[in-house]
Amino acid sequence: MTLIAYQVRMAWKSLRRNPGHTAIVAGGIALGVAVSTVFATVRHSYAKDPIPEKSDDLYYVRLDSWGPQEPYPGGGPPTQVTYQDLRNLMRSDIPVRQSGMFKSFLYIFPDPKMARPQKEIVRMCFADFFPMFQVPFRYGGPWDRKADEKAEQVVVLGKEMNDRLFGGENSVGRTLRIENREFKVVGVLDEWRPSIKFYDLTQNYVQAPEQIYIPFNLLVAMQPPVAGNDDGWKNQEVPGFAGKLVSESVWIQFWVELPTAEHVARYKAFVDAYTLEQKKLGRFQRPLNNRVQSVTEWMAEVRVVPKQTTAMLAVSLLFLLICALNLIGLLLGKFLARAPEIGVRRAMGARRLDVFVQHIVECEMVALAGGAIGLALSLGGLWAVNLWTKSITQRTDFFQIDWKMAAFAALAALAAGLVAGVYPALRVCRIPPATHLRMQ
Amino acid sequence: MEIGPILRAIRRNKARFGVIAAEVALTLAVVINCVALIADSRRQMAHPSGFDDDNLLYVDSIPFGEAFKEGGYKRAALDADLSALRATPGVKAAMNTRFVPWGGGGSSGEIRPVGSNGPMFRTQQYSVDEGLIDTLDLKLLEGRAFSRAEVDRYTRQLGELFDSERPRGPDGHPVDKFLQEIVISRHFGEKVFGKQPSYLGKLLEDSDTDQYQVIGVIDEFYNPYPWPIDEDVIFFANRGISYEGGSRYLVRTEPGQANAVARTLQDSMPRINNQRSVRVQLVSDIRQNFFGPQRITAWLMGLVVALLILVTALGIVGMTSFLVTERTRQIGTRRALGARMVDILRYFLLENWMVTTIGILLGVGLAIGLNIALLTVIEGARIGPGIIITGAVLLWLLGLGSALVPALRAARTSPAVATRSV
Amino acid sequence: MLRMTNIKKVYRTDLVETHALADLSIHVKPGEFVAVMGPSGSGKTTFLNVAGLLDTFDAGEYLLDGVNVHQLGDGEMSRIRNQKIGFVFQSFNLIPELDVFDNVDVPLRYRRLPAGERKERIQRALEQVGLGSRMRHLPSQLSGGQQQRVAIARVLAGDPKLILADEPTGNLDSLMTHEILDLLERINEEGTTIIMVTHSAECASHAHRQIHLRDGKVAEVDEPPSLVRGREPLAPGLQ
Repeated sequence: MTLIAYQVRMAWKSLRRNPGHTAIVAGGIALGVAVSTVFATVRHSYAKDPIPEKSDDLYYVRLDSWGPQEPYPGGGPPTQVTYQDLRNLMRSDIPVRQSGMFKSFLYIFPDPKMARPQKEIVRMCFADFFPMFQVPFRYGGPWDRKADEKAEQVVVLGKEMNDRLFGGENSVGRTLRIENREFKVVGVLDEWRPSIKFYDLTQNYVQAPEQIYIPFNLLVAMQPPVAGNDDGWKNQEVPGFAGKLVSESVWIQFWVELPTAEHVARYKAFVDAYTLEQKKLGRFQRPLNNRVQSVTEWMAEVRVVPKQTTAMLAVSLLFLLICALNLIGLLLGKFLARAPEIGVRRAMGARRLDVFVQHIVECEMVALAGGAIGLALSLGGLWAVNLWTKSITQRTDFFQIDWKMAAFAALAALAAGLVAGVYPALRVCRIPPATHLRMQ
Repeated sequence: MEIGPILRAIRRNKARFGVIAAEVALTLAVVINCVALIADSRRQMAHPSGFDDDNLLYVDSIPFGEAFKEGGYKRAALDADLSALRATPGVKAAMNTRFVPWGGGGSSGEIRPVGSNGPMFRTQQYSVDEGLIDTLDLKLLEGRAFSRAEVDRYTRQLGELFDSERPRGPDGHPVDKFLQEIVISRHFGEKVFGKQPSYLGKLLEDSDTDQYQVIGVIDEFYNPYPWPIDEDVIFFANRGISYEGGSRYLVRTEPGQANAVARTLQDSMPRINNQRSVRVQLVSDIRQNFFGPQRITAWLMGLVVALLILVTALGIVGMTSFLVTERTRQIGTRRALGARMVDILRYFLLENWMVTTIGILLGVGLAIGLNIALLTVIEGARIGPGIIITGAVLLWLLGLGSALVPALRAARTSPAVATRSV
Repeated sequence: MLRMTNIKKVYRTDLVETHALADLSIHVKPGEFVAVMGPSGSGKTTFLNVAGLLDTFDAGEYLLDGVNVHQLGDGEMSRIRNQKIGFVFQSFNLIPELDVFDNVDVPLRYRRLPAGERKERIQRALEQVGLGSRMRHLPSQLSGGQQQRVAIARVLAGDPKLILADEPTGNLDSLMTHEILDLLERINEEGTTIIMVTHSAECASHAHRQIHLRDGKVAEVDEPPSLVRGREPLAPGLQ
């Protein structure tokens, strides 16, 4: 048997001999791990990459079309683009996919047997939206670019909406009345729960994605209200919805897919060139300040992660440290009470390092057990946090443990075990050989 | 009192006593900062809005009938709604407005003094009607708000103005300037004009060079906004109806009647017009929701503080017990040399008090350092001497209480331990 | 000085009742130097514990310096231990984290003497045992003999009437043993009563009188053939 395996076996025996003591140490570590894992997960839920497979390919486009007097509050370009800029930018063929989009609030009229008429959030977007953001489909699929061009009255439903309106059946081909138009269902989504609504960081991005999607180009005919942010630096010159489309109001989110660095460079050049062109027409009176940012860059600029969560994570790590410190007394008592046995082992040839390692092994075994308990406790804690935040997030699964957080819990447990065990192990390995053989 | 020998003994055993001091120091530092976070959350939640939040209701009418698209119909519907609201028993005042206290957003615009070439000032701006003062329970510092006649006149004028495209001059601004009367908050007045004895009559203009004249100034206004204009507002007279005919109202009830009136309205409003759905919310609920993150922070930090105190108490008990057990022989010897039980008790409590004090001194320094780091992230969490002293006292008591049990056990050691063979 | 009459002490556990002291009667007069001897299990340590008020007894009468110690409270017993009795232990029982000065200081603190008087007594006691220059050393820095001398200084600083010594030379080599025993003799010559528990006949020979214990009572009392007060170990034939 290798030395480590032997030491593990000895450690296991020692732990079993004092089950109460072992339980308290494991419990102390479990508590520290639970609290720190909960807070780490809370922060991680905001910070993690919502679409790791494509976060490097998707870019959010912003132009500084704001007024000459003052910059947009916050300093950078506005968070959305104007309608005319969207149209002009989408003429470029550099992106492999692109989509402008916005949120509206429209009345839907389901089959009266299923549900009452209700105003619902509807996202108006282009066909590319779905493959760009890897939206999963259960039945059917997205509409195609031709449907975009023709502004067909087609609709994609989310899973929950489909459950509510059509009892969860395959509703492809069925019709749904939105406002005073009949729409044909072309696709139904599977459960889609990105960690945050990264494609629209302008409002409420912790909420779940929308449940109804229709083609963007219908807006000219439908003149739908804009349910998202709608800002402008000067009043609309022409009244009505038509006037809105030629105004300087920013209310549209615009994403492009640029698979290589070369694409990115070319597109940035295109955007800047477009801006300069518009300046000649009297628009864009601010200095050149455009942005073409990847998902992670845009998330960082919006500061998705609330500062409080970082502060609370720091506090929880200190809490873990304190839990570990408070276990030192217990471990000192247990280890030094074994002084006679250690003296005998040393007399029989155990080096100081062997004694040290054996006790560290024992500590870490308990620590890992405590870590497992702590991880289980943190699941409960997160369930509670999800419940409390339901009114803000409108969902109960925002704070989730993934394998990264499980790894964090394991690391936290091992670190706590070290903090608690190093000093007692050092003390005990300094016991000279067989001091107590001359006893009795 | 054996302060000298105890201090010397502590110095010779730095590691063991250092553990206890470190526990105390870290716990103090974390507890103080957690309490600061809790205090900050509570302070935010207690911020007064200047309105009668507990008795305010927000009523939202969302039409789905086609009839609502017609101008005359929707104006009549709005009038009917307002009359019904104001006639409902238990209602003190009501107004038509898009302003929702504690909504977390709203609408804003930029204006500056007429003739100024300086920057524009962003401010919250909301259309209101004659019920402004009574519904929001505002205090007019000077001037007045809008009469019903004025509201009707402005609504008509604004409707005509924006129905069609306004002719614009060569400078891009509309040819026919419009003058709107506004009620502003004192905070905004000071921001734009500096401290003045009166703001009545002052003129401002927007980017279209339409003008605004101050006819009233209110004292307190607070509505948290995504931009730093929480206390800045201008109210103008207009009955606001959305394009589809949707309208919003704020209703003020008699004290204590908010819930009852809300139930009544949820029932009665749809019956006045069934081509729309009606949503009635208590502003106190909206406020509660707005402070969701603060409430959660306070709760979680409270939990951490409670757990910390428990864990540290147990830790001190454990470490002190160990230090007592380790010195059993020494305790027996002291007893043999003439120490009474109370002398032993006093010795260990004194030793513990000294270590705790060292820990507290370290902890205060740590707390301040931690707080400086915290302030870079959360501005309102500054700590003052009061909280530090309270924390120190708490930890002294904690240390004393935790050490009591092991110290009592030490005092009960029999002197015969001294003659026991090793 | 010490008069024990029919002292009984019983240790009870669930299974066994041990009569550590059974009908023990001992009388030690002031100024005597007595050695208490006996095989292991004879009750020597228990006798010492009872004599020094470290432990209670179950029956009999014990008069210490004329005071009946029956039913004295812990506070009273502690006071007597502090002021009238001095202990010398086999394993020295110095407090490891205190230096020599602070160790000797311990019983004086419980007597609530002012700092000046304490310092004077400590210095005097350490000089008496020849360790005046080592006041700030730690016990770990001293030899066994030196440590025991510090323990004796601790006793001397308190100026007790009775010294109880438990195998005082048990952990020392022969050279140090002589030193310590000579020291004890000198202290006794100045009037302090000494009761020394030992199993070594050689140590016992420094005493005036030997008491043998067996099974918790006195077996025999020995007076050495010639009462010679001096430094040489007593052996038959030597004057």
